[in-house]
Amino acid sequence: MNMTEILEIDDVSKFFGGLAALKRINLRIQEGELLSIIGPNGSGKTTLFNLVTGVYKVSKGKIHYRGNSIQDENPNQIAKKGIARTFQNLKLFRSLSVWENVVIALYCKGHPKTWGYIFATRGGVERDKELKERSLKLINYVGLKNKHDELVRNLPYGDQKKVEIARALALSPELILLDEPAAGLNPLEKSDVIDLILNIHKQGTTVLLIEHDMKIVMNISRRIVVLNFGEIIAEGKPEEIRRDSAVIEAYLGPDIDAL
Amino acid sequence: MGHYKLKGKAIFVLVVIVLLLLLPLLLGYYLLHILIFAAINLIVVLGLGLLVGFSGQVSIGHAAFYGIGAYASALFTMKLGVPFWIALPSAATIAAIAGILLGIPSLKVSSVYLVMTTIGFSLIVWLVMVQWNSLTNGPNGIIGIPSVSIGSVVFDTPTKYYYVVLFFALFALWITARIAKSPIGLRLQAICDEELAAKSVGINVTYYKVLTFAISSFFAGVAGSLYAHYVTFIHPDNFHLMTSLIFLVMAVFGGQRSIAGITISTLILTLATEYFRAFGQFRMIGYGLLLVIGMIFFPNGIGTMKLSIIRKLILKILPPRKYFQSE
Repeated sequence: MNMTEILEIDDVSKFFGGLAALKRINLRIQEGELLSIIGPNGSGKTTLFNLVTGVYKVSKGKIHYRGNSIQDENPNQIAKKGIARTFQNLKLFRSLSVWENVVIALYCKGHPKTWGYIFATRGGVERDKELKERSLKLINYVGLKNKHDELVRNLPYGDQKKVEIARALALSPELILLDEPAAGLNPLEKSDVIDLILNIHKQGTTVLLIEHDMKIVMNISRRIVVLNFGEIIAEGKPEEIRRDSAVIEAYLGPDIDAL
Repeated sequence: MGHYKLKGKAIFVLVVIVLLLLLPLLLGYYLLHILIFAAINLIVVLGLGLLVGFSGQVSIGHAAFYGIGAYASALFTMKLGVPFWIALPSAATIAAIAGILLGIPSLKVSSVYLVMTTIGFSLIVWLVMVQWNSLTNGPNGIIGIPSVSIGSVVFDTPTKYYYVVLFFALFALWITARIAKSPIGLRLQAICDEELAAKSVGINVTYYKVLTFAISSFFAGVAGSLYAHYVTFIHPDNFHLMTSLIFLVMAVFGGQRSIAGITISTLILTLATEYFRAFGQFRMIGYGLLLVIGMIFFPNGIGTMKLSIIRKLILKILPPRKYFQSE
């Protein structure tokens, strides 16, 4: 494995009023890693994602992306740096079509000639066409062939989740944060999403995954971090985590070996 | 197939423009006069539609920008002797700056609180118009604003002024349609749908919200200037809250994101205001009834009616262009 660190989380805490959502988290993520974060509801997993993507500001501690501090940056600046995410509760642009949802993210790195579009100059029109084609490729890549013109709100839930992943990929991220991508999906859709995640990882993108489905987590993760009440209680390879007594007590339960 | 649709669309637009150019030959002075007001309103409402329908920011203060445009343009021409063609863009720019000044603090608030902010702003501007006697002539208003002229041609009759207003209204329509389809339009809709997700794909939400305020108030400023140089007399009460409300009603009644819907609703409601005048003090009842009935049948604005009936008809005759057909 390549040993450069892509993300360093140093001593990060997050307080909401008197409540400590995260307490002194230390985490280093290597480039090209596929790391899962697990833990009971309310253990601070999504809060951690929100801190990394700038939705919340850290109360204490530091976050570095590729050696640069990012904890004071806005979500849109962080997205431009190459960190993309999906949301636990879908946050799609519901009044837009599938390809429009994706193309919006392409604009971020594509430097669209806005005035060129408005006045329909040759450059603007060509760029328009090019970005539309790229969005179509991404839509095919996540397995939504021929659904590009549909309004996202008319798609089934599983497909909507795929649109979110396609939108995140449109940022050409080096680090992608997936927040429960398999939640609420049927077994067939789940296996599609697993293949998709493995594909994204294989192409060199670092993947951070929050997931409750232990079958998925244990099968695809290279490393697992377990959060409980805002603290890391265990960290290691899947086989280590499933034998960890603290993790079994806090989250996995005694039936984990059945998986 | 692509060329087919483009051709159809171009012919349609051309026919409409020719009809619009011939309209003064068919209509009397009075109807033309109302049509001029409709076109002026349309410019404001198109800008308001961008703000309300696309970026999701509701304003009941657009009469303020409209008024700023009118007063600024009147004062530029009368006190500084600037010609209309320079006064109009300057006045609109001042309105846009006011829009930015209102837009920045408005980022902190949304929904009903933003509405309150815009109402407050509108009242402040109105009070300035009434109280700043030395500049605005206070409650007496400004009389004798010069008519628009190019060289020796003076656009002082409805027939002549109609062409001036038509030019600006068509330009506003075209630019709004282009913005709506451009990356700006898509980004604004994204912000309106899911602000957090919009940020997560790199959209600078602050910038786009303020930009929309600027564009929207620029439009209102242009319309204000056109109004001032047409009626040649402006008064603070022309730009009071009721005017703001009527603009908002026109935008919502039209369906906010539908440019055709907004155009039709502005036309209908401007005509209705004039026709119901005959009923004296009861005219607002007629106006209100029209709104209630309209909203019952087309709860998302009359733009949706066009979508469902007329558009289907058009799609039958001219099949849509497929963007992604393999070539």
